[in-house]
Amino acid sequence: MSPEQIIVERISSMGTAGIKKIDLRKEFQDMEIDVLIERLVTSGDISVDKKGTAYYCWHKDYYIQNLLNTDPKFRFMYEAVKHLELSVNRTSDGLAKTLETLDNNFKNSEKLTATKDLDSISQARINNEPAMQLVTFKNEFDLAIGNHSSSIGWVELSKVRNEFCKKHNISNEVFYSFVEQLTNLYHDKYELSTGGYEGLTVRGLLHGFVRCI
Amino acid sequence: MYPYGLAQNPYPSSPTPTLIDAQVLGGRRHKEAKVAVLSCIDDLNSKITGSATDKDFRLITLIQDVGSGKTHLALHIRGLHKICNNAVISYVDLSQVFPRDIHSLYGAMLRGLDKEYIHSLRKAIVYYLKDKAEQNKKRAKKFFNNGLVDLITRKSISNKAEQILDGTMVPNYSAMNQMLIGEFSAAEVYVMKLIIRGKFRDDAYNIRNMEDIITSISAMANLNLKFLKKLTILQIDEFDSDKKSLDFVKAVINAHLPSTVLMLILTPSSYEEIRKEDGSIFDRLEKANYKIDLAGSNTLEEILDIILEYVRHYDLQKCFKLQDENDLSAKIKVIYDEFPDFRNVRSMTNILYHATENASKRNARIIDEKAIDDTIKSTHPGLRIRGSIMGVPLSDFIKIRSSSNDIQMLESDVRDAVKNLLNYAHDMGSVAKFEATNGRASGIDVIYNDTSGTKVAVAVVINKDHTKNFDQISNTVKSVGFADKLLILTNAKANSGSDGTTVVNIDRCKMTDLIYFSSKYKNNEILHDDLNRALMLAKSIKLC
Repeated sequence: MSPEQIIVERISSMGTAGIKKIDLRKEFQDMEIDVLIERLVTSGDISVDKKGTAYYCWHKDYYIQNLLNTDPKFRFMYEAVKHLELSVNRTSDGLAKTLETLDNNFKNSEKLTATKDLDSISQARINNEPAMQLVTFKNEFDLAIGNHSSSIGWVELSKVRNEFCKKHNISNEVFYSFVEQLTNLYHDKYELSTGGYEGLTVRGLLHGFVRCI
Repeated sequence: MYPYGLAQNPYPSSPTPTLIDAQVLGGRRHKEAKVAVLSCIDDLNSKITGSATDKDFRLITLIQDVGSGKTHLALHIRGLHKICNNAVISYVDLSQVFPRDIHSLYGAMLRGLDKEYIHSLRKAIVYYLKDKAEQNKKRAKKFFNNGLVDLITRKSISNKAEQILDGTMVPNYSAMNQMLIGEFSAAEVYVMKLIIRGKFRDDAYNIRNMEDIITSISAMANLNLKFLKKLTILQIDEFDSDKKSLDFVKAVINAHLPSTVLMLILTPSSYEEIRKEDGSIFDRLEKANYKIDLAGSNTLEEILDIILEYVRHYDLQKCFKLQDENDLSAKIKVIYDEFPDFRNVRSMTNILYHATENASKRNARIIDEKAIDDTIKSTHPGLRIRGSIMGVPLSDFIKIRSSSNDIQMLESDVRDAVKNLLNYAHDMGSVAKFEATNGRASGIDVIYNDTSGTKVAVAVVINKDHTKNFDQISNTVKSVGFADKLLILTNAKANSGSDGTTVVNIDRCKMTDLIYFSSKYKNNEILHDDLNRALMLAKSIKLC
């Protein structure tokens, strides 16, 4: 064990009471106590403070507790700082939650856009909410399919898109992202079919027709 | 030997079905469509008494997306015994007809009739003429060149009829015109001659215009009814908006071919193109007698039944038990849910064909996860489980998903996985070693210090009554006050918790990632590649 370790252990053994520097000198006469203490203070392992007329040494784990026990001013300040820390933690948690919500919304918006349309994403996330909810889109979309469908039920997506984008002022990309989400989520309710000039790409094939099953 | 004790791979090896593949028909919607076609044929049959009129024509459209089983259904109907006894079918795949003109289209239609049919019609006609000759009809005898020598040599009309059918004797065709006049039209007699000569299919080269074609097909339909007592069904697959095809079909519809069913098979896209190309034919299609709808042909339920039906059909030893059906269904469901690319009958049967081959090579008793995993890896090397951080192989994904139907077990597995992940994060120096909860708070699974010294309590909540659980756990933690932060990992759709509580949504994919990691961790199978993935997984659920 090094002389520093011996000293640190001795100081630590005194707990919050600490030990007089002079007592250490007496106890370890063969060591250069002043040099060792200076070194330990510099490394932060111990603290030295005046108590009454004598200098005392405390281990770093007990010094603050000693101050809390003996110094009311310090105690008040410590409590104020702790309160502040709690408050910061809460704010930080709140911020994390907000970020999480934003993140979720952003992921949703990301899913909505097959080709990234930054303008529409920013538009879709005003007040942390998409400009149109999927459920609203679904209702309108079903209505549009009903209005445009032929006798066999199939509708060209471009027809629906044309009307939809004009009515709701959304871009083509946002429209198709919604369609992609909807047809993935309710794959037992919608059918896509290949062909057409625009639509969703599935299995490498352009699917430009849709219908409700 | 193939899985489930099958003697052969039950699934079609090619993307388009053959007549043999089409013997199997699965799927409720496909079966309903079949019933609709059969009822159309029955209905037409019931209307015809004696000879057919121009009212005895039916139009059927079968419209659905590519790979949904339209051709399969058409070929299945063609192969049905009931249909073979009641109808003559010509199947034409228009995608094979190029260039398209009236000759090639008519030629394809004639080639679409099978040899057996031509042989039976030829035989029926010759026997009909033989009967006439035997009834001492002079003209009929002339047809067989029946004379004095035959009388001396005792060569009967029957012998001569057989010789004509064998091709060893050439009859007197010129006698046919006068013999059959009044009973048959000139066009019918012409077709009969072609058939007896065995040159029926060559008629495609003789016709000059559309009128000739209509006359010939009409004659053929009449002969089918008269001699074979059968309807004529013309199946035209891959029907599209090509101008010549449209003109051809329009003429056939307008002609009201007697005792004939025209079945057009096309995609919604072609239907729309036809609407744009030719309003007149589109209007006719709109007024089809039967519009066969295969709506929902690519739903999970339909695909499952189709896939299972193939095995059932070839399972002669009855080795394919209910448990096997359920097991295979669960695997197919995972593929269907995870890969939108396979939400299609053709794609799924293709995967199953290769997976069956793979399982057979390994002598696997069933189509196991490995067979499916290997197949997808080799046929679709770029496909990955969506959202999987750990890169879970499909085989493990299927196993974990199958075993996670029990919510209690799932929750327990996820809880263990979180502990293992924290242990691992501690080993990597990302968090301090976690403490035992020692029953300090109900619902808390792990307590640990994060890198900033914050004491975090983690609760895994995977059940139905989430709200109650969140509040309970949160209140307990607050009252005991042993943690600075509460982290709830749940599969509920909750965005945030109350003060000091962070709720992280872990979806099925994330849970699978956790359980997969946990299994590897427990078995000391963590590889270098997994190191960063695991830490990323921990970060993604806010553990560090």
